[in-house]
Amino acid sequence: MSNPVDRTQLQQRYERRMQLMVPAEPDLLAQQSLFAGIPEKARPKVIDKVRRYIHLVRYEAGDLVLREAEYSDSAYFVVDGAAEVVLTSENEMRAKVRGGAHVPAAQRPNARPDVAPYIGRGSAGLSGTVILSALPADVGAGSLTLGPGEVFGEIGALSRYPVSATVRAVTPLTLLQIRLPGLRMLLASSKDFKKSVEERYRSRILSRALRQVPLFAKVDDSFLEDIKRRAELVSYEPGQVIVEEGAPAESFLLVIGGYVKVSVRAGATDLALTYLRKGDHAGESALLLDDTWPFTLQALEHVEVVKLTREMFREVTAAYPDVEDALWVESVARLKARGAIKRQPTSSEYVQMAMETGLIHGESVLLIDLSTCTRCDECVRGCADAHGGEPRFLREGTKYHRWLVPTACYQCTDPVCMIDCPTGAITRQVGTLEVTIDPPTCIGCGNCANRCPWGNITMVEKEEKRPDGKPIEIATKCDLCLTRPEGPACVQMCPHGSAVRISFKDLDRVTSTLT
Amino acid sequence: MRPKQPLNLSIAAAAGLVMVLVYAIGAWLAPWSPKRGLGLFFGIVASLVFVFEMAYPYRRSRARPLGTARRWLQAHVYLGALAFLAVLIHTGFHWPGGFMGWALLLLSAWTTLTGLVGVWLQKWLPIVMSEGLRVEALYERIPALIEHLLKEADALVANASEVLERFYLAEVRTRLAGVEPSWSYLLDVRAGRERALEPFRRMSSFVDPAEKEIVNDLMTIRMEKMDLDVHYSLQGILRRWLIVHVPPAAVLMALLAVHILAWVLY
Amino acid sequence: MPRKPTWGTPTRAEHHPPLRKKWQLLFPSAIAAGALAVILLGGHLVGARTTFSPGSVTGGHGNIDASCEQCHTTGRGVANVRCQRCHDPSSAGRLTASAHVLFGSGDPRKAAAAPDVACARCHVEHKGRRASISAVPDVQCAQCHFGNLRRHPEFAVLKASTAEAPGMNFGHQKHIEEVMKGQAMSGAAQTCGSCHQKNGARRDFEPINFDQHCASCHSKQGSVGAIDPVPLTDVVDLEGLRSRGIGAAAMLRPEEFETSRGKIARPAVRHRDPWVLFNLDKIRAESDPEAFAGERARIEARIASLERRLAAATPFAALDRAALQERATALQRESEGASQRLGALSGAGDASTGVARIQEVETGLRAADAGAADEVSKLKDAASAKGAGPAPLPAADFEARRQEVLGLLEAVEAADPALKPRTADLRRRIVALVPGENAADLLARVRDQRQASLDRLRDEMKLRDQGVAPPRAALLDADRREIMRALADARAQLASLALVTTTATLSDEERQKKRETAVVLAAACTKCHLLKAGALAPVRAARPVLTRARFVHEPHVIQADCAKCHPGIEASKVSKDLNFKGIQSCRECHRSFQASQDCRECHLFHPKGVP
Repeated sequence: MSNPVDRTQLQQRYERRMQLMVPAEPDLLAQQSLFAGIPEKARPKVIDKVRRYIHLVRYEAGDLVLREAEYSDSAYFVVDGAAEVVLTSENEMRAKVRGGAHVPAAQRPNARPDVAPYIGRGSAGLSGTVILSALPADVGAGSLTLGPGEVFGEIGALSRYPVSATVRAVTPLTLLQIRLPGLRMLLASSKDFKKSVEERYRSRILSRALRQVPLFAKVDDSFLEDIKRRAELVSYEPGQVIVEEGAPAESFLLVIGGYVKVSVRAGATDLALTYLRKGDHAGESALLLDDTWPFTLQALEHVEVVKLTREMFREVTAAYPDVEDALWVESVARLKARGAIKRQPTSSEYVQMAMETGLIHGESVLLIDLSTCTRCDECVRGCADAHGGEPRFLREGTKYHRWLVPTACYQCTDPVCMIDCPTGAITRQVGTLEVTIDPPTCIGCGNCANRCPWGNITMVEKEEKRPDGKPIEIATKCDLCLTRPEGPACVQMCPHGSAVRISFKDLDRVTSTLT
Repeated sequence: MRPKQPLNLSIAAAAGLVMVLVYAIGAWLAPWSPKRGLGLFFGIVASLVFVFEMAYPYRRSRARPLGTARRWLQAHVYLGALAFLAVLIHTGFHWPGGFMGWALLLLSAWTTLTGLVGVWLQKWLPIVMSEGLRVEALYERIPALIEHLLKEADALVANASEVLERFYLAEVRTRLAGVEPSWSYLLDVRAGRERALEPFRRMSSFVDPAEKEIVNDLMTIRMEKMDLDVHYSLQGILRRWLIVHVPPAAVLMALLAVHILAWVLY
Repeated sequence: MPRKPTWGTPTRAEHHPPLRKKWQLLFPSAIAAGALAVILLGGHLVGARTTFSPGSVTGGHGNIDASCEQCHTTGRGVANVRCQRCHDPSSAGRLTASAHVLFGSGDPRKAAAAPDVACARCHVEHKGRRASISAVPDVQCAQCHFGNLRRHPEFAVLKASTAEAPGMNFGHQKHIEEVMKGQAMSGAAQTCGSCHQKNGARRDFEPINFDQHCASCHSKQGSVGAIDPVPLTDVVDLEGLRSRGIGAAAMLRPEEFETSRGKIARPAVRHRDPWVLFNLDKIRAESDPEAFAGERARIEARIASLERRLAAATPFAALDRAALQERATALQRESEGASQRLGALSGAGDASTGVARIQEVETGLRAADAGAADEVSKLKDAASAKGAGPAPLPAADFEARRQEVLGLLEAVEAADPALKPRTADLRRRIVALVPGENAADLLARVRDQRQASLDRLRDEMKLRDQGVAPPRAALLDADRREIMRALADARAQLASLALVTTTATLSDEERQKKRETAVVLAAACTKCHLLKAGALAPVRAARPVLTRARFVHEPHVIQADCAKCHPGIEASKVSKDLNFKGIQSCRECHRSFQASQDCRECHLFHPKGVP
């Protein structure tokens, strides 16, 4: 597995990691244009608070700062030197989906994608992990050079999309790496910074984001440019209500990052109907019907939303009748679903459960039907056999009705485990489901295991020992049985068909499977 | 108790019907003999199926050539039932005459019967466990989990009043220490639950309101402990029923080998 | 803050607990099972063989239950020779399928073509000690015979009942009336039992017998009637009878004879009177010497055949090694000889050469004698039509021809006693001929039979080498006893004939007179019996009617009145009447869910007794 090149890269990564342990100097920060937007008085205070999350990092010419398809929780500010942004053409970025037990036949490679649109979803993308880019989209297939004073990577960090371009140092490069908490603080305290980020988002991402929404797929560039300029970017904190059911409909919402719960009121309780994720939109039915909001929208975590006003929406529908037709179809479907959930509230239980437990992040969640499971451990054995004798999951966990959610990796849409990996051992190939840990690269720091909110990463002792006698540990997790062409062993090996893998992106399938 | 794959059941039933039909026609056309023609054919078929049945554990090492483990199990169950039918047809529905014949017939009947009992257990027990119990646990970890619960309960009572502590020591602690498996759970998964919770209800009216919560917590712990007991009993049965299935099957294979050898020799 | 009840696992493990070992149950079981198999195999080698047996053998085979090699040949199953070793020790060959075909059809050619059926095919062993291996299911019969009781043809004996009377003048009507009168019975049905008496052992009726059933009416103080005077020139008197050493003559007393004027009369004659029977034989020998000689020759030939058979019937198992070897050589030689003769016969009998020869003769004759040429031409057509060998005669002509040839042999023998061994051999062969067979068929039959014997002999020698126990002596002697019984009967028959010595040849007139004397002599007998060609016809009424099947009256009589199957027999006036409704009667009860319809209920597969 390991070769000399990997070793040197490893060394570099390790050194970089060491740099991250050191907070940036306040003096250095004060000189930067980054903080120019903050009022003079508040500046030292902000810097003092923020500097814990900002680190000074240096790159040699040719070093990679960001790698395409990786996840990053940091924005970068160029202090000195020049960086080059390289975009691969879109064709090469085509999503590749491996076969797996949970991938419906229609979504296997060489199959026509399922054309039926899912309620509340943007286009039924193959994976959903590659929708938007965190870097200038207007560079086309060529390259772009960034000089001192420029910021990049902030949108990737905020929206948790995989990085869609590679950034490489052209000259020796000095950067300020601003980690996500710092970024948020900066956005909150510096109006200028916020404005510039929004501006950049508008110019770089928004048109692409809008294009991804089927609604705007056929809209003229000039028209889109207009919308782009006038749209409002709003963020919400976890738990914050975005719109209340019954409120007058004023805007059309497009979710850029985070999860939004969609619920309806039934008596005193809220019934979860579905949730929105990045790329989803809401509000079209209220606007079309000129009615009040039929749902309550609530931010489940930090949510970034693009708001279009009623007028803008009207302009679009007036100019593009086929878009309006599509929206009608969609809003009717949503209202039907709303009626169904009110009549039969139990089906909302699983949606609610998924949101409460974080299963909504799961792209491929292992579930075991306890009413047919004979506890024979064949799934574990299959897993162990596929992974050198050590199972990658625990057949225990939380139980919901007859379903057990075993301690197995969910393969999150936004894998938080990847963010803090010092060596980059955790990767996800563009367009694939599995988040994998490369054993030779893993140094066993345990960051990912600590970071995983569900404790699905296990530290396993290797047979080797460290010089001090302690065993070497590495992080292991489910990799959807990369080496098995048949797909995940747990599902394959279950003699009773109790083990299933489902993606929580497709709520319809989730509820039909679970109930 | 519905079949998981109704299609397979229908196919198996159809195959069984065809076999009986073939027997009926064969026995009508020519005298039925296990040594010749169709009788021999059914004997060979049954032996081959038995060999395949014994290969069931092989699915683990590689499920690939014959599909998923689920298909293996389905094939194991349905082909096993058909193999017994083939054995009966092989004998021409006659009682065997000697020790060997009886041994072979009884062993194949026993193996088939225990297999079907196993199917029933594997369908029934998961349902009662999933519906009747809150806790879900790995069989091997149950003693450790119970120990953990005991510690938790000990901690709860550590600073409680004397009355509560005495109650705990006298009526609760002994029942929390160690696994208490019981066959009665096979019949009723909630057997003895009400009786076990009775002392807590009684106690909760004695203690002062501040400690009521502790009693409630102890009750929850006791219930979880009972859940674990049930799991230990039922999962134990699910693991051990094979003892009545596999060794007789192996003996059957040995006698079958002798039977085939006798057929070849004489 | 109350403790929340757990849904799922209360506390998480760091790692999955170690998994159960794979094969943890299967390996020990497989090893134990393997050990069991080895023990069973070892036991088999040492001699504990019942474990190998698929089931106990039937009770009759109980003594050879554990000796597999008594019946089984390793790798070849059960050969017929092993069954025949005990059940057909004298090589009569009556247990084969071809014997069955011959028994059923009487056609030797068909029999020769019959397929070889293994005994074990029908007689399935290892079905338990109590199972009957002779209970062969219908489906075995159905391999050749299609049909069932519903399609069963009418009994041949009924169809042929007009042809031949059973050798008696008898009417049921009169007898039943008499019995009813004598015993004051009301119903005709009850009267049947007066004569047809049950025999418990055979589960059928006692054969009708004069002393038991007829004597009470037909004999007054031992006398069945009187005989008018017959000339002493034609008959012998008591002295003559005694001088010929006839044992039965001892019961006759001189006062029973009235001799006067060269004639002898009997006021009272017994049933089976030895004087009457002897003199009838004597008159027949004098008046029709050819037929008499033929009859005697037939009996002699049968005796010779039986003697030969008896000699050959020494079971192989009873012979010692040297005798076996000797027998093997002899059988080998005979078999080869038969093959050679057969080859020679088929070469000589080639029709084309014969036809060519006739053609020559015909062309030669054509110029000289046109009539003769036509005759020869007919002969040629016949020869070319018949093919190889002389065509078999039809059954009716066959017997007449056989009589003729046997008479000729008798004449040859009388003319030149030196030829006696040769004629004896020829006679034996002629007697052995079966209607429908020609010489080639006979030779083929002999060859096959010798070959089969040889196979058995070789098998016996092999078994001897292996040290397999011989069958029980009682089994081996059964056939011999039967042959000896038949031989004794035949010898007694011959003895009675041999006492009559023919002297001079008589003119036709004298013969006629003698025949008339015979009629007078048999006057008392012919009240009931039939006199045919000077001899009393054999009475067949006492013998079973069915020849290829068996029927016992007992269970039927319990179920129903006699009149159910024999309606109106009480009004019958002719002895051949059975008043039997035929197969229809059987079907009335033998149908589904009532009485068995199995073939084996009535039919025999193997012919009974020594042929």
